[in-house]
Amino acid sequence: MSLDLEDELRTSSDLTLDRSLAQIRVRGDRLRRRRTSLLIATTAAVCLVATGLVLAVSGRGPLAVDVSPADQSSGPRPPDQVLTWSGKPTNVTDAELTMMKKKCLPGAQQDAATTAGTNPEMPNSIDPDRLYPIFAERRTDFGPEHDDILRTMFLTDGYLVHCGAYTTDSGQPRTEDVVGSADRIKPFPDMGRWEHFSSSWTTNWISFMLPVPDEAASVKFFIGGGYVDGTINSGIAAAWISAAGVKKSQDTVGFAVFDADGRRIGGVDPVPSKAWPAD
Amino acid sequence: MRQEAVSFDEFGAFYASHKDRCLRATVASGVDPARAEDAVAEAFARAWARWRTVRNARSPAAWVVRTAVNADISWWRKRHREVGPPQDVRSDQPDLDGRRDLIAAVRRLPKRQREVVALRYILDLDTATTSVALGISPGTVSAHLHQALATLRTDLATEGAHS
Repeated sequence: MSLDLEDELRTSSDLTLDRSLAQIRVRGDRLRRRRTSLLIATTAAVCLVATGLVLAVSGRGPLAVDVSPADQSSGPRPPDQVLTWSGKPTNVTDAELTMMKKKCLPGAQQDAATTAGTNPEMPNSIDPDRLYPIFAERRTDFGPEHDDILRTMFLTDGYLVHCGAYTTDSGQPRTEDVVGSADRIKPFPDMGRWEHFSSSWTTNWISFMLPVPDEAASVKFFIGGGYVDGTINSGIAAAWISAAGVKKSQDTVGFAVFDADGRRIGGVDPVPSKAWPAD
Repeated sequence: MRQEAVSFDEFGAFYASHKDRCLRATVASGVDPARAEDAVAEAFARAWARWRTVRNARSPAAWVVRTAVNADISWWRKRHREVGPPQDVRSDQPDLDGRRDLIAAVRRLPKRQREVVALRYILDLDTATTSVALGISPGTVSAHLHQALATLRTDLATEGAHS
């Protein structure tokens, strides 16, 4: 009886998938192109929500303390240790960091040259010897699209360099996939506090970044009616969460920064009560 | 170029041999039959998009089913609207949930039991691979299978008595 049932389970049902291989391939090729472009676009912070959003956010709630974000103009600060986006010691090796830095640098140099072209106060190149990793993390089976991905964030004079790559089954970054970009992190002379906040969205994950002053002890980033705790390293607060179940809307994006006594020194109230998983 | 051609042949063979099983396993896992075809098609497309990785998975078929269960099928829905609905091969058949067949019975099992049945019997994976795919021990796989088969036998016997 049991064997009969098992055999029936193996052969039962007349359900058949009526899709041609050509249809599948067309869709798959489209997805592959989108993945590549998304990775590039994301590392270029294509969904930068900075200026308008933060100005709007800042206008919604009083900022009790007059503080400035970390002044990156004084140069990068090498971190005590490289962290994951959720605050653990990094799971990326030194060799991988070196490879990522090398592969990212050409794209970041182009961004620096472009930025300096319109902002003479900015460095027009990036010195590899002053490019310090602050966040680096490998995630497998991550997000609703089950990405195997490795990301790093390097701090340097005036810029934050983002790198990303999909990884092989053994977790190694695929060198041909590594892409990098550089975002200006040095405060604009005529811009207000907290204006370098940014969030990057893909269909698979959401990332936040905010330069914070030394007195910042904790940061919460908001989206979709929930929050995630940020991790602070070398004056940069960051978080990286799966997009699964998150209703993405610019209206729901924000942050709150607190000092060691739990006093809010930036961002808005109230903090949503629901917490998104941090990794 | 040649490598891509070989990969495509390999993926084509995988698709042909596994598409129906993956659909059955996805439906048995609990996905609504009305969206299962789109979900499995999307999962196969994602498998092709990253075939170099998926082909080396312990069970590419289990990867497809897991992805199908989580798939966003909006692209396929949009395509249907653009080109018109495909001919529904099951349109002259009663709804799956109303049919007294094994897949419908499996769908009534608790979640973990139906996942184990879907992978172990419908995809025909071995116990070790099923345990890895679901992140549970081989002993737990066997326990769930035992309970699932007992429930299915009772369920089908009851249905048979009522018919």
